[in-house]
Amino acid sequence: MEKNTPRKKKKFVPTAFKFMLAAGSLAGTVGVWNILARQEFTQANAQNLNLPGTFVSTDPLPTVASLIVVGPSVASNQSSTPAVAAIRDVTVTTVQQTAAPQSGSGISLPPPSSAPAPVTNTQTSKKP
Amino acid sequence: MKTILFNAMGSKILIALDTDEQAVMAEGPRIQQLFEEWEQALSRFRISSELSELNRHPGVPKEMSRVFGEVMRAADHASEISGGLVTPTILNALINVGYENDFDVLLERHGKDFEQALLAPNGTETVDVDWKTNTVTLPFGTQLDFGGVAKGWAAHNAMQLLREIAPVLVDAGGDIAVSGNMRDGSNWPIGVSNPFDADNNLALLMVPGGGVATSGKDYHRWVFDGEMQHHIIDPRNMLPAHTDILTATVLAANLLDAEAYAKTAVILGSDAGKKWLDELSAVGYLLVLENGTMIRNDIFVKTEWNTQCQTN
Repeated sequence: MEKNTPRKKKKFVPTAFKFMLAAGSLAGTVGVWNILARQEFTQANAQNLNLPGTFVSTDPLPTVASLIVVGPSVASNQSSTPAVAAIRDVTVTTVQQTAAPQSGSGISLPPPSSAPAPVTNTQTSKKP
Repeated sequence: MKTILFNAMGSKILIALDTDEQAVMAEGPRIQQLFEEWEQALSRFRISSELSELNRHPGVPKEMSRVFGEVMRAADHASEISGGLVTPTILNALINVGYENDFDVLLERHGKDFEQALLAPNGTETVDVDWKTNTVTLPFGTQLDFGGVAKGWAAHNAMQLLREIAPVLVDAGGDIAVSGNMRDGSNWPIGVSNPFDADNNLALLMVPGGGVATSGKDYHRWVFDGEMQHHIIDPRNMLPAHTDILTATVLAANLLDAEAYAKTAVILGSDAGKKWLDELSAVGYLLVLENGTMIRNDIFVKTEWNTQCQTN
């Protein structure tokens, strides 16, 4: 006849190890989310940097780590839509001149095709 | 080369730095913020600006901020070198001919043909500036509009701030300040827009430094009271200048001078303007008349790309 003795529950994994696993899992989830959130933020900014005059919302995505908000703070409430600085690499290249010379108006001939491309133009006004 | 683009003072602003350093990227937001602060002090289209505050209180001495004081000095300088033809005391004249709001707002609201019934005095008295107390007092009947002087000052100032980092070009709505030659010793290629055909340039300049400005009546034009109006006021009669010059492009030692010279030439017209410009030293110019005629001096021609190629 077998003795009905209470069976001791087998412990395969120590409690401390379970805690370590749980903590590691939580830290991993938060870390990955944080990285993804930062990437999205950077990409969103990068896209808008090429669109002068476009308003960029710099509200941080939900994350436990604080994000650094970049860009100038526009103090005045009188200003119109704040423009966003765009920074990019450019190379001064040689372009093919396609403009036809104008005759009879006294306007000079365009520069030949080997002329460097102008960095910018002077004119009366350049509106946004 | 790195370029920074943003909108400020009702214009496109372009800053080109001849460098490969990534660190200059940090300068974009900083300079943009500076432009915002300058506009807040100097714009007549912002009701809370320092300028608007001054315009609302004639007869009352107002203390000037550092920026406002510097632009007042620049305006004084422009008035001096132009024989009084470039002056900020023309705001009421602009309002009289209908230019009472930002030009884009006017176009949106009225189209190019709009009528208004405004009554504004045309004061011509001298603005009282006391540099010891750093205060300015407007006479009754006079309001200020810094216009191109403010934009020119801003571009010149931004160039001065950035020139320590790298050779730099600052373009504020077509008015261009250049710090000096590029790193490889070459000049900056700058186009001169054709007022008759915006897609093409009249000339390609190779600018070693200084300022390039274009003033004219080709853009800010509207019909008011049955007549074509434009924004360049002749302070001798406080009306839009009666001139045959469509645009004047001037190369000078700095942008502030170039801007003042270009506007003066437009106000004077082609005959008197050409004579006046010819008396200046080290100034290049291109005058485009309404009939399409172009008048340029030797300095301008020597700065053009074609000429430089032939002489090299």
